[in-house]
Amino acid sequence: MKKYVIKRLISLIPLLLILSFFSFLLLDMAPGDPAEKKLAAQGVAVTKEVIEAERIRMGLDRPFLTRYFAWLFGALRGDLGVSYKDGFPVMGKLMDGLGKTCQLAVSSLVLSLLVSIPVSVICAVRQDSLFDNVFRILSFAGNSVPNFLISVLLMFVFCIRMKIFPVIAGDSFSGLFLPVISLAIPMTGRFIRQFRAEIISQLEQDFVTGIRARGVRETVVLFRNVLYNALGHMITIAGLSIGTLMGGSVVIETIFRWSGIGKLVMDSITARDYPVVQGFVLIMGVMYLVIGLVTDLIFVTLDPRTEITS
Amino acid sequence: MSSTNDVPVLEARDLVRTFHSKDREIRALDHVSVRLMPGKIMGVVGESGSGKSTLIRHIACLEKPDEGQLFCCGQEYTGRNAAFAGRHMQMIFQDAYGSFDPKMCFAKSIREGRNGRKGSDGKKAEDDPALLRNLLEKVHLDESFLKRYPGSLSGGQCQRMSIVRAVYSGARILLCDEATSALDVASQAQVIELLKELKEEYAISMIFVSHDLGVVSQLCDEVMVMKNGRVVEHGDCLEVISHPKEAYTRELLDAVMEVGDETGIHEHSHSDTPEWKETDLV
Repeated sequence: MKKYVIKRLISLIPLLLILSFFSFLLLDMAPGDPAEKKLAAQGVAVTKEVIEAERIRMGLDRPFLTRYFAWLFGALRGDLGVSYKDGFPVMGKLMDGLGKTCQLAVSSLVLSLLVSIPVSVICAVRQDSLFDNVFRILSFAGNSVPNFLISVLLMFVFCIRMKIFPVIAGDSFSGLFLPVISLAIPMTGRFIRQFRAEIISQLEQDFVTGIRARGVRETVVLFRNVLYNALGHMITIAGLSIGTLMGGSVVIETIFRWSGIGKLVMDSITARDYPVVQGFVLIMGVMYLVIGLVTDLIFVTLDPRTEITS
Repeated sequence: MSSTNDVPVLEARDLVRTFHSKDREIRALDHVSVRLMPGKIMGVVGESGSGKSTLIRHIACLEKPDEGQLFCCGQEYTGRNAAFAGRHMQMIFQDAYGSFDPKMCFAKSIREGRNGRKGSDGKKAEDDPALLRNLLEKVHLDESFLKRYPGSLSGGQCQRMSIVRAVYSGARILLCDEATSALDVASQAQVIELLKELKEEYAISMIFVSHDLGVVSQLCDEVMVMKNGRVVEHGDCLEVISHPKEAYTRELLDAVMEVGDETGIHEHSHSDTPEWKETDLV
């Protein structure tokens, strides 16, 4: 198992290098002079000499690869540079935002799983019943409606009409509800459809018919055989959704003014605060890869057929 | 005075089952009756969609008939759940791999068949290592196979394991649903021989569903020919095969002869049954 994990971690290195290189390259090619943007953001009177001096101070006069490796080695030590906007370290700003976003993403994921697992199990077991048909339509609708529309509708109903929740979420606990629900609705819709299909395909297997024919109780068959066999697929779907959630939170955080990493990066893009954007791309890339690895490890650990678990 | 041998171990009387779709009704079982006597093997043949598998699923209580009655050793069990049927009968499927939980080793799957549910006395059956050893020996698989998972065995080995599971469960009626259809000719002949031996040694009765009259002729005592959910011909296996009364039975027989002429697969007699070989082991 240890060998497998080390092998997988080593395989992440080239991917991260490619990711870091292209994120650095793309932002280097983006229009606008970072030195000018930084000075403008700090309210300094901009002259040609001042800009040139700032360019030299920021190291922008050095060749591209030199700057890239300097940034990369800094990143390896946990230093992603400083924000042009306020001079604070990028790593600190991103970690603060990431914590807030994780709070949102994990809450949404937990809520989605809590709703979708029992609903998809009932839908699959009572296929084509009224319950199944109703939730198939609801899950289709939930999956189809974009989450920014859901969030605006929720805001209108619960914040403006009913005044239950604050319009601006801020960092309050009550402010967490609507962003979480907005993110959870489309994901729950997707989960219900995918989990239901997987459970039905397991229920139709001959071995399930055989176990039923041997008289094993239906609940035992459902939990021990059907759900256990469907679990690997379900974990993969849920794992892959975390990445989508982090991406989706950019819009939701901006709408609800939730100070997560999504809002931070949106503000940074608008302000051309490139070190923050570069750091965001790198951290999100690392998160995607690590989540993929963890999902694979859970998948493998749950499968008794794989040798590495022994 | 009737002895226990006169009482069928399994009887289905006038089973009717209709499936409804939006624009039509399909009569999958149309007043089908079956009488399986102790220690006998009844073949059920017919083309796809004739109702053979539906019949077995009803007998195993996996589905409920619209009309008709089911009896096991003289006791009616119509409308009972699969747990009742499971004490007396076990199914053997065409897809041997698919009939095992892919994440359960054979030991667990086989034991689950025996003590995964309560018996007629309300108690779970205890493990019987001697019986399991004996059965494994009979199917020429050693005990090390019990630690393995379905994907690691050949189709023939997996099917033999499913037979071990069925007999080890304590059931004395086997419901074989195209149990040899997915196997190569050598494995098919081995499984047929094995079923015959088990029938003799453990007094097992079987319903053997197949679309292949050639296989049925090698194994079964009686044969029942089905078409469109109805029994068109029923009788002693050799009698039906040598002197078919119905045109449909003759058609099925002609089909077997044609395939046999082309491939030679039905020309071997029982004595041609291949010996078990080490190479058969994966």
